[in-house]
Amino acid sequence: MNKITTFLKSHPALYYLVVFLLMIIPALLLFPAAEGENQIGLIVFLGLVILANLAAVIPFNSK
Amino acid sequence: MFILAVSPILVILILMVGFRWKASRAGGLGYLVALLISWIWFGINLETLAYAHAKAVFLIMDVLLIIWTAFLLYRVVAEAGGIEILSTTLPHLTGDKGMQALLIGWIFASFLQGVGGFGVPTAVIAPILVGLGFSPLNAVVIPSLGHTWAVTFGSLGASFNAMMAATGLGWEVLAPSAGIFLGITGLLVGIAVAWVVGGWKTLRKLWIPILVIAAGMSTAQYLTVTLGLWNIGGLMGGTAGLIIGIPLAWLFHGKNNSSGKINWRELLISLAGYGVLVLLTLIIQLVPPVKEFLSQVKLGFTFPETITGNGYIVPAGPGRQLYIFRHAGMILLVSSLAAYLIFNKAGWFKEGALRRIVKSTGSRVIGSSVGITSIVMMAVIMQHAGMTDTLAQGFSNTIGWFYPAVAPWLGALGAVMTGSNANSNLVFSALQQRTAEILGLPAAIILAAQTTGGALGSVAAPTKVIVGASTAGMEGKEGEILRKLLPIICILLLMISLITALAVYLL
Repeated sequence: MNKITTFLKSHPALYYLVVFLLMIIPALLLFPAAEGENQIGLIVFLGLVILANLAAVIPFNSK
Repeated sequence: MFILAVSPILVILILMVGFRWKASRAGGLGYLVALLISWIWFGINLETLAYAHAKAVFLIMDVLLIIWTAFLLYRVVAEAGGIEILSTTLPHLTGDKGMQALLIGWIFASFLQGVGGFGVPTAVIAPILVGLGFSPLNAVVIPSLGHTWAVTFGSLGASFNAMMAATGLGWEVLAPSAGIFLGITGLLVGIAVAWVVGGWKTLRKLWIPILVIAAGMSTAQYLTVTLGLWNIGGLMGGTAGLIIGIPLAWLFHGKNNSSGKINWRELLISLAGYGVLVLLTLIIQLVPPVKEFLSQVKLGFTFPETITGNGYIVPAGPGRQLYIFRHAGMILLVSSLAAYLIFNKAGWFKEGALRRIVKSTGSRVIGSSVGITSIVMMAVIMQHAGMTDTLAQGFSNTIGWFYPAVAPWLGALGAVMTGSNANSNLVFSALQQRTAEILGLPAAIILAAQTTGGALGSVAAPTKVIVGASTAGMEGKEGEILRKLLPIICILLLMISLITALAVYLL
């Protein structure tokens, strides 16, 4: 995990790509989860979007 | 509740302006604040949040597809040396300082904004003007002002598309007013550019070319966008400017006209990618069978009605629909490929060009994509929680009839705080639309004021000023640039406020 974090932090574009995908894909999956009234799915996918936004806030390289 | 509703926007403003955070960081925190407030105080439930997020994805993709591919096309042309050819050709046409500023700092800057944007006009033009003997301060201020009017319909319409996405209103509603407001701004910034170069003396000397060029560019942009070709509005305005401005530059060539020969073949090849773009856009938009054929594949969901714990209802309806094969992003992608093949055949690429194009495009757009994603999600959550409505009610109660004069300043504030007209439109368009509805004002005019204010404010955004300063050798003197730029921007905003009030109450 540490290796992955270190690698991503030294590659800003890749880091942002991962953050971006973590925002978009779970956000899209929230639609079928809501249609299917899948509470666990809703919590997991929303949690992932929140996590991705938290990751975007973390500073590295520059402000 | 008003203070709570405005908090996410204030968080972004304070972090970006006060602490100089990037949009990608500040947007993330703005999103988290919006989520928390909407959940605790506005009674948003899990289901509403889920639909809001899914709705936001389509808005985000609609905006990002254009931003990614517009920058890709710009990079293909730049990598082949096309931008350099344009940059070296234009200064040969006139030796008159005022005319040089108009031709390069106003017309060429508008053209570059039409095709690229993202701070490119100032970054490309400031060094050219320094080379022509302009002071570094004027070299930054002139193109910064010159391209503002082309921002909304520039970058292949990214900012205008953001406004359509955020409000759910079509081009046929929004384009006419926006076209007129931005056209007037075009004339005002032309005057401002001449004034920066040499005050009233230059204005008196060049008022005829200013009027002729402004009329040509504004009319071309207005006609293009009101025909539904909003993604090439800025490009067509800039192109009309070049067509009119080049002969005028010969007429007003000054004493030391270098009269260098222009290689027209090179110039035409360098513009080939944008030629393909215009051609494809015209065919798709104006030939009904082609448009129908390409409209067969559409991505999007139909969303049910949502209601918060506080009783705020968002009615059922389709979200943003992506017609993927006739989307402006797809047209740009095909144009980029065509441009690449043309330049490749002409032997204009150096080794490893493709890798450099892909790498620079990816690294340039991905950070801002994260910021846009967070900000759009924040804005859609605020809409679904009733926070936008609370803000609109607050504005209508406190500002009331004076609101039309405030609308452009709100757009400008959004652009300064988020760094772009597109982001400002994403954050504030729905709010402006709702406030206009509550006050019974024409939404199209208020939104035209929003995007015009956003366009003007975007040039004073710290990120753009820093880019301009660095390319003109003024690193660390950003304050000096802002001191010259801000009073002019404020005067222009005051004029737009007046025009908005007149348009709302007299028309």
